[in-house]
Amino acid sequence: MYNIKVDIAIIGGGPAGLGAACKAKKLGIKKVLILERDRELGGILPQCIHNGFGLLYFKEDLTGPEYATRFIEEADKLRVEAKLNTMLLEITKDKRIFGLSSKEGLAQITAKAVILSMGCRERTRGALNIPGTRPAGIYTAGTAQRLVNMENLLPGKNIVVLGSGDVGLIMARRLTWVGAKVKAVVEILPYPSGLTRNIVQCLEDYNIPLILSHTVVDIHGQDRLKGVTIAKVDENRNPIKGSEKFIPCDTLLLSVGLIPENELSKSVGIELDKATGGAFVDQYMQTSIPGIFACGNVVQVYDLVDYVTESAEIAAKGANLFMKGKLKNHRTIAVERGENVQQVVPQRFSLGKQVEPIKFYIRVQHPQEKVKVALYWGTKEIFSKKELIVKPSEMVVFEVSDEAIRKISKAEKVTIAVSKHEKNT
Amino acid sequence: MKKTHKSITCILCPLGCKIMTIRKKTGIRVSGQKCAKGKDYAIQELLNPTRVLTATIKIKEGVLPLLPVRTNLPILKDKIFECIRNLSRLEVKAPTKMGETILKNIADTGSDLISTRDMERVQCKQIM
Ligand SMILES: Cc1cc2nc3c(=O)[nH]c(=O)nc-3n(C[C@H](O)[C@H](O)[C@H](O)COP(=O)(O)OP(=O)(O)OC[C@H]3O[C@@H](n4cnc5c(N)ncnc54)[C@H](O)[C@@H]3O)c2cc1C
Ligand code: SF4
Repeated sequence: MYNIKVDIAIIGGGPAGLGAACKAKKLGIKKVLILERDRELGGILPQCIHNGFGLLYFKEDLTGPEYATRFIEEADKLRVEAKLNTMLLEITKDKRIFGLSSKEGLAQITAKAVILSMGCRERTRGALNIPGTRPAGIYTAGTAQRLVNMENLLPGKNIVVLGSGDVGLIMARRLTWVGAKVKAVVEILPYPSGLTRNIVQCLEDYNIPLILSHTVVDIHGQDRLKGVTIAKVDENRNPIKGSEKFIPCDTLLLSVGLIPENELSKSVGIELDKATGGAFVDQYMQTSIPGIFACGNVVQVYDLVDYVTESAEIAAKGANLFMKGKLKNHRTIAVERGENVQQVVPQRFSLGKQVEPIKFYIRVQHPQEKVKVALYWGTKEIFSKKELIVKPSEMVVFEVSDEAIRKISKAEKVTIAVSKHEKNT
Repeated sequence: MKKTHKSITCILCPLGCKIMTIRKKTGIRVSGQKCAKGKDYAIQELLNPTRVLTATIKIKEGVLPLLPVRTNLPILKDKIFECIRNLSRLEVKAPTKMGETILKNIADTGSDLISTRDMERVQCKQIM
């Protein structure tokens, strides 16, 4: 039995958990413990061996393992404690956490504040409902990434990727490099869902076709995958009869999105937002339960790890304020989603004596050019900024000034919307 | 030299302009970029495209069978597959540290291959 009392317990040792732990230590909090089910820290990053991490945070182009190692080394220096091989199963409202440690069996941790940083998992075929047989050779892109980059196994030779999410794009290039033939990346939407950088450097560089407005409608093969049938889709994403095409392949990778991993959050009754799949949080990343905070991909799938780290540092600051009793008696203002806003985090904010600027992370529903991102109180525009272009694949960061926040301190709710800029120049 | 056309997608900002390049005896013509940075990017991509190569190599006695590696500088795109062929022959022994040079001047690119994580040696008795 493992039984311990700490100031802050952090669940999940990926970049979010590591970032929160380091920041908490720097703020002077004594006992900070990371709990991680895996045998090492770093979360998903050790398998993301490609570069493109840290461009914003470190102003350097790092690989996933390098980004993780920097934080692991820093956590070590700051004397963050970590308990590995420990799967957490339940949290209670009074901040006791229960789990299983592979060495000591039952683990019980009592904390003054909790930070949730369990990351996300991949959507699978079940979540998609593709008809056809169930042969071997169908993997999520992340599973394939783990096999190739950490276990030295090749999932197949002739590959089709369904979905143009970043992990799938990165794997298309990686598999090409190790000798496989990537026949196509098939995307149901009329535009790619991955970053432009990845479209160019992973597909265009190797002449891998990106087939937009298409999806897989049938899967062939008994024991092993023999091929897939793809078809064009109409505006409502329904396959168009007569447009079917067979592509022979032995492997299908699914790169169709990530979902925040919130089983634990549900166990304690944290309110979840259907739009993000994560907890409702305020500008301190505090969830609906006082003293329980959340950061990183468990809150919202951020497309860059740099934003994950940023959210983690905010959560650590929030936990520190909570422990000092400074988040009491705040007034809460809800943030509603307006035109062309798919997700917004934080979904609410609370106001005390001190008012600071607030950064909102927005994912739009569809691409749009020459827009205005704005915060409204009723129909009155309070604060806005212009963007030349917005896309669902690249999050919009919208920082609202403290002055504007003060203006809406009496509001019950405000709205954030993205709309065409009136003066179209 | 005959006239060649090539379309290049600029990745320097989210606009992702499609830039058309036309290469003629007299020089290079670039069109479609919405800002000046795009022109330089297109010319660089046309004449001298470079990329960082990230990959894995075999490692003996490590806690994992593979060690992730990268080139410390971007290398010419055309050299990527030659570098990968060089990698498949490499094998190192644990432990290694992040940033250690694994191979100097890989495939004559002027860039070194470095490891991108620490890799501990596997313990004799398997501890959980
Ligand atoms: C397959 C895949 C590939 C990705 N590739 C990229 C990429 O190339 N570039 C990029 O910027 N982003 C990528 N992402 C997004 C990536 O997840 C984030 O950038 C970043 O790793 C998120 O950090 P995190 O700490 O929130 O989550 P994670 O890195 O997922 O860390 C969460 C940690 O929590 C642990 N955990 C979860 N539940 C429990 C529990 N109940 N008990 C104990 N521990 C638990 C997990 O083991 C894990 O270590 C990828 C995501 C996935 C799923
Ligand atoms: S050319 Fe300029 S505006 Fe266009 S994508 Fe490149 S950097 Fe952006």
